[in-house]
Amino acid sequence: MTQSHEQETPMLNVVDVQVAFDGELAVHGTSFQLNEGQVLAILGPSGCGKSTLLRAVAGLEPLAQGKVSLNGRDLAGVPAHQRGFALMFQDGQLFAQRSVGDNVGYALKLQRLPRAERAARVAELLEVVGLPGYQNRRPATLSGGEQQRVALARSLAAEPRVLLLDEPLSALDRSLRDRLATDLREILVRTRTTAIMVTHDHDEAFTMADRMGVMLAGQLVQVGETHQVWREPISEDVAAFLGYTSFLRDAAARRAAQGFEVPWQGQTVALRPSALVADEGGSVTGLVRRVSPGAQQTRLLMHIEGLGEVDAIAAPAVEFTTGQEISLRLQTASVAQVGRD
Amino acid sequence: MVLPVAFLAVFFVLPLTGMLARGFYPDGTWDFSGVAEVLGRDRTIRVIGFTLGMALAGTIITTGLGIPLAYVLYRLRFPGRGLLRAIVVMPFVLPTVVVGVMFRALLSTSGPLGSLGLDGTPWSILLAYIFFNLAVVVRTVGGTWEGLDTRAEDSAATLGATPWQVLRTVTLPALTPAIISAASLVFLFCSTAFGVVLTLGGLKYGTIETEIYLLTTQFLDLQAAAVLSTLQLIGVVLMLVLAQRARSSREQSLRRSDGQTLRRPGLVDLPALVIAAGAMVLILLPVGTLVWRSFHDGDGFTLRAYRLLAEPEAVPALRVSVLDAMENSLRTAMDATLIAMVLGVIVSIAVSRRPRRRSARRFIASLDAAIMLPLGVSAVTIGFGFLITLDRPPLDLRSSAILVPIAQAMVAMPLVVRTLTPVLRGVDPRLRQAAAALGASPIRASWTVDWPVIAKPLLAATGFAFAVSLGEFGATSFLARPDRPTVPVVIFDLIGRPGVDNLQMALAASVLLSVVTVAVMSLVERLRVQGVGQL
Repeated sequence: MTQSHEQETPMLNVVDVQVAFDGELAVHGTSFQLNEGQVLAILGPSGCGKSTLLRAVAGLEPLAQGKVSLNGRDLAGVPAHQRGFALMFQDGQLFAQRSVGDNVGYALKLQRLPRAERAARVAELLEVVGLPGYQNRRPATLSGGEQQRVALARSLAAEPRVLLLDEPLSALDRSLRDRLATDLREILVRTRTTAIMVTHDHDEAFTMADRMGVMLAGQLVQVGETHQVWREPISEDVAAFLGYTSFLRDAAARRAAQGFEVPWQGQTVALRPSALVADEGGSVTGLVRRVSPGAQQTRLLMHIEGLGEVDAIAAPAVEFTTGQEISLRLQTASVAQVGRD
Repeated sequence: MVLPVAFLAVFFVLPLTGMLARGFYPDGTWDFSGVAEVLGRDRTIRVIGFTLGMALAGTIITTGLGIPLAYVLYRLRFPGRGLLRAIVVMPFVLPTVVVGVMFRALLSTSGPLGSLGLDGTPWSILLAYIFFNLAVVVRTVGGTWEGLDTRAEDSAATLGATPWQVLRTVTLPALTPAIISAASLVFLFCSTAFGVVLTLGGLKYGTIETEIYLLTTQFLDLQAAAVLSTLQLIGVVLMLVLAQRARSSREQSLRRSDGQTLRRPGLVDLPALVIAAGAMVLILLPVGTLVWRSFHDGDGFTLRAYRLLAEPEAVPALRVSVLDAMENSLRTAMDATLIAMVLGVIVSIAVSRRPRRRSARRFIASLDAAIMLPLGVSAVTIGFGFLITLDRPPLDLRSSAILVPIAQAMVAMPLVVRTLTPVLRGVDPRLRQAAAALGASPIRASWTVDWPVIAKPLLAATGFAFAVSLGEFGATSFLARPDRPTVPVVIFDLIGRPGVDNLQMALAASVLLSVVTVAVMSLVERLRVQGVGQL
């Protein structure tokens, strides 16, 4: 996974793609590249055009401008069914009239694979997604998580050159989502599948992707290694979308950089709430301004001399009162330096 | 609740049983001896065979043409689509007699397609069946198709399925319930068609319905008529049960998409576009011919036929002018609409509730099915049944003018119920509960929750009921008094008379009636209510 991608020629090349609906641009000039075996997550709030971008790559939406090429071959004029990009949706979109086995074997049947081979391959894929023996079940009898697993198996059966995942886990509840994200990542790595995933959940993107792109208002504003985007968002908008809540500038930024021991060249410093943790042995002190108790952790709004008002967290069930002075521990992992807008 | 049930009992069950009793219980004793004899007659067998064969052919061709047309009108985006959708619905509400007149005008030796020699052949009836029923297929299948989630199709396409394979393996299976539902209704309408067959087939080609008419009015063979009526009733009930099955499975599996499903036509759509264009020609050609010929006699452009419409003495045998008949038609249709709406709304509210008691639920389900029956039962049977059962105290209505609107309301009511019920069922009962929890009385809660949703469909159903009442011919032809005929009755009378003037007047009257009907329906279409005419 960590070989130097920069030296490979990219498998998928998306150059300056625009998509328009009724004359209005849903996707502005967008470019990115993807190497074989990589998983790219495109992260953005709902309505930012990320699903449209995915559909355009799949060949389901006409491009107003730009091009999509695979292994150097321009895909303009190649219809969706000849691109070899399997698309998997949020709610699976299993064919309700067919059994699970027929759903998974759909692409194989289109390829006219003999019945016996098809059955063997379907069984193998159901094994991969953790649903062995589900061949004769009806999609309607499956839980949401099981449906997504079947949908994944169906997509993998097509042996897609690129697998496109449109919010693959968003319809599921939190705990299931976390578990399935880990499974999905593992399956994608094991099957060496190149994939683009679209999601609005940054945890999901963090778990599943090697590379991450952030899309805001129809524009892919930043693409890079997941960790890099996470630690160096190029703008406050991107940082805010990634969950950073406090933004410190100028003198406050310099003081924060010193405190967190990160290099500083004048950028805005962004903090997640978890950058400051209430801890009696902490190195910084501040005044509690507001307390919001939660089940996992308590959120605090602090006033810290030289920084101003910043968010912080504390262990649950610890009592705080407004105006109280407490000590805070610093966590460098929750700090980002934002490039100038 | 009592009102619609009583209405159905008096004006549907009573005439029907009265008519059947005349046939099977003639002298105070049950007599089924004639059943085998009637069914064994060569003529009966021929009529049944003709009815079923024609209905089957009509259904297959209509469905085959209607599916591509539904695709083009409900899945593709192009200018003029709204207008084309409105045009496709038009034939369904055109009075059957007018449809007959149209095809006569088109296919007769002097008509544009006269050289084909189809006039007076079963082909002309078949063409009229298709013309009339395309709307049923297009509306029912198109409505479902429009709401179908395209992402299942997208999934299939990205898994490597060609557009044709996507259609075959994903789209058509999802549409099957709607297609079955539409096809069974088309079959029902084809096999009980009356006005069209009577005007186009004359006495030479008869269906069960026209045969019942002939047996009743010409040969006075009530026993044979009763046998055929019963046979038809059984067939119709079977078809309705089938349609109901298909419909309920459709309601269950309906997965509405929220996204944009329309797309621009591409090269792959060419076959569908060609078939759709052919279907549009089939619709527009007879209409165009009717209008054109109403303004042209042998010598050129003339308004003479239209002038004659106002002339009471134009046809001495008719006691009124066509315009008087029009006024009468409008009044009657208004009365019929009022009756149909009052009863239809009560029934819709009743059948859209889900009571806790099982027996109550069962009663509602059977009422829901029973309300559709008048649509398929021989209008002739009902019309004649009115005459023989409502002719003595306490219900001596034979000379009353109210019989015609009642009979028309009977035909319109199922359409009202079919339009309103899905809308009412779609209202989440929790909304009413929320209103009640905020302190609204049941009536107030219904006003807050139901009224905004139902207002437009209510208007649409009113317009639809009015249009259907205006064109009703089967039962009206029995019940209308000679001095107060409706326009369809006059038109039928006119085309039965020799002479160029009479034919021209029939054409002009047909145009007039169509203009009124289409005007009403385009208002309905403006309301953009889902499911009007989607049975």
